[in-house]
Amino acid sequence: MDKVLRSILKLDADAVCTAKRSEVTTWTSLMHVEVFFALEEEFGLRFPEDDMAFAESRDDLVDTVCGALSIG
Amino acid sequence: MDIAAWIKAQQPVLVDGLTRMRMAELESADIFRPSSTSLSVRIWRNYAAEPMEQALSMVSRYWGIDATVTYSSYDDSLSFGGWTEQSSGTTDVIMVDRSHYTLSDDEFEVWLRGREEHLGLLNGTEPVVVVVGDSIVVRAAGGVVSIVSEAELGGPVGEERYERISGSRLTPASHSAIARELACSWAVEGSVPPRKLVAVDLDNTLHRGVLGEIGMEVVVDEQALALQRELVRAKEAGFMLAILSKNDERDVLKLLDEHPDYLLRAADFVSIEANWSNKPTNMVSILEKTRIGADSIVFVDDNPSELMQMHAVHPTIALVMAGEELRADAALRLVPGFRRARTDELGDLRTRDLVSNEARERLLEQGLTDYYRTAAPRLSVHDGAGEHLERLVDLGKRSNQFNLLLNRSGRDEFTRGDRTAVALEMSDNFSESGVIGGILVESSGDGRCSLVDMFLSCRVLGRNLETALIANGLLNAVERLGGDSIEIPWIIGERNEPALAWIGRSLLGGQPREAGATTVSLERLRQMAGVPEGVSVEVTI
Repeated sequence: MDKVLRSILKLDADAVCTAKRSEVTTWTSLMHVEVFFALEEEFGLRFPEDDMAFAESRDDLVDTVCGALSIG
Repeated sequence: MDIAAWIKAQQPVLVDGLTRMRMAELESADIFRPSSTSLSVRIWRNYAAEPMEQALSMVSRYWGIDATVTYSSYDDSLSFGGWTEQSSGTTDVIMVDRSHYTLSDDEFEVWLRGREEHLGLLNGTEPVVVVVGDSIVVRAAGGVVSIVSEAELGGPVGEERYERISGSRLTPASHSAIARELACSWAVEGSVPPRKLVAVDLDNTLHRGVLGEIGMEVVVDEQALALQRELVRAKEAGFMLAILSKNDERDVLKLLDEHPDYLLRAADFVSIEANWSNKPTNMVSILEKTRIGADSIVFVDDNPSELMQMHAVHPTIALVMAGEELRADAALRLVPGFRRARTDELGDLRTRDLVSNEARERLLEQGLTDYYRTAAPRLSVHDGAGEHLERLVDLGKRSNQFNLLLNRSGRDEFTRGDRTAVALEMSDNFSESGVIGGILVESSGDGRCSLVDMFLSCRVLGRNLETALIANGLLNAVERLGGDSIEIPWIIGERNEPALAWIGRSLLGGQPREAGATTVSLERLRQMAGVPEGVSVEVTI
C-alpha cells in the first residue's frame, strides 16, 4: 500500500508512514480519488463509500484495506 | 523515444486496463513520441471528469499529442456559461451523466441534441458528445461514432459509491475508456492527418502460421479474425488496404482466393507487395502507387523488427503491433486519424480508381497523347455548395499535399453569400474518380476575386490535366461572381509541396519558397482552361 501512496502522492519513502491528508500538499481531493482507484485496482477490492470518504491518513487507509480484506 | 519500448507499450497503453500503478510505471518509460501536435480540449460537463485526465495525457503523449484540458463548472442545464470564442485547435466536448436526468429517453435525446446544436452554433463546429448511461456513447459530427459497453469495460459504467468522493459515479475503467476515445480519435480528429491506407503483414498477423511453410493450413484464429473484420470495416469506411508480405506472390494470391476463413480477398487491396524485398522499400511502391503521404498510412505487423525498420525509413507511418496475444484490431482503432466521424463514401471509388491505375499507367508510359485518345478523360465542374458540399468539406480537411492554403474550410465558409464554391471531378474510360477537388472563391468587389481555398486529391496527378481542371473551376467561380481577375494566394505548409510545385510551374515560373499571392486575369484563366484533343470538359452549373 505504501508503494501506491508513494507513487500517487509523490511521497518520499520515509514520509509515507506518517502521511496525513491535512499535511500532505499533494493529497488533494482529486488525488484522494486517485489513491482509492489505485488501491482498488492493486488489491482487487471494493471499498465502502464511508471508508473512502472519511479516510484522512495512511493509517486510516491501512484500516480500510485490512477491513476490506477482513484482516485484523 | 525508444521505438522498441514504444511498440512494447502499445498493448498496455491502448488496450489493457490502464490502472493507476501501470500508468505510473509507464510514465518512467521512454515511450512518449516527441510532441508534433497541440490539442486543447474544452469540456462542458455535469460530472467530475478530472479522473480521466491522467489517462488522457498519457495516451495523447504516446501518440505525440500535447493535450491540455479545461473544464466548465458542473452544470446539468448545459447552459455553457462562461463560453468564449475558441482558439484554433480547440475541441469542445460535452460530457453528461445520463443518470442526473429524470427525462424519458426521447425527451433527453431531444434536449441534448438542442444543447449540442446550440454549442455548435456558438463555435461554428459541431462538438463531441459523451453520454454516460448504461454504456458510454460518443457522438461526433451529429452521429454516434462509438459505444463502449459494460462488457468491454469488464464491469459497470458507474457505481454510486464513487459519487461522494469523486463527484461522479464513473469507475476508473470508464474514465480510462473515455480518455482513450477522446485522445486517440474524437477530440483529435481535426488536429491530426487522417489515415487513408492500412498496410498489413500476413504471417502471424492476418493468420497464424507461415504461408510459405504450411500453405493453406494457416489458421485464422480469433485475434486474426478480429483484425480482418476491422480491416473490412475500414475498407467500407473508405480506407485503402495493402499487403506487405515476405512471401511468394502466387502463394499470397492463392491464399486470398481460396482460404475458407479469410474475410479479405485480393480485390480488397489496392496493392499487394508480396516478395522478398525489405518492407520499407515495398512501402515506397505503395506510396508511389497511391500518391498519398506516409503520414496517411498505418502499418500492422507481428514482428517488432519489421515495425522498427519501417519507423527508421518512414517515421510518420503509424505502427500497430499484431500477434497471438495482442488485440491489434483494438490498437488500430486507437490510431489517431483512423476513425472518422464521417464515412468516406468515395473510398470504394478511390480503390477501384487505383486498381485501374495499372492499366492507365501502362498507357501513360506510351505518352499522354495515347492516353488522352484511348482513355478519353473528362473534366467536370460542379456547384460546390449543393450535393457535393459535405464531400468538399471532408476532402478539404483530408488534403494535405495538393492544398494551396490549408484553410480547412467548413460548411459555413463554403456557403457564405459572397463566395462561390466549385467541386472538381475527373474521370476516364478506366474509372470514375468522383469529386477529387474543390475551389472556394470570394468576391472582393470592383471585379476582383480572391481564392479562399483550393485542394486536389493527389491520385489524379500525373495525367497533366490538373491545370486545365483547376483553371476551368476558377474560371467558372470568377465568372459567377462577376469578376475579371482573381488573386491566388498560397502558404508554405509542412507538406503542401505538390500544390506549390503546381503554382510555380503554372503561374510563377518557379516554385515559391515563401507565402505570397499572384493575380490572374480571366483571359489568362481561359488560356489555361484549354484541353488537349481527346479530353472533354463538362460544366454542370
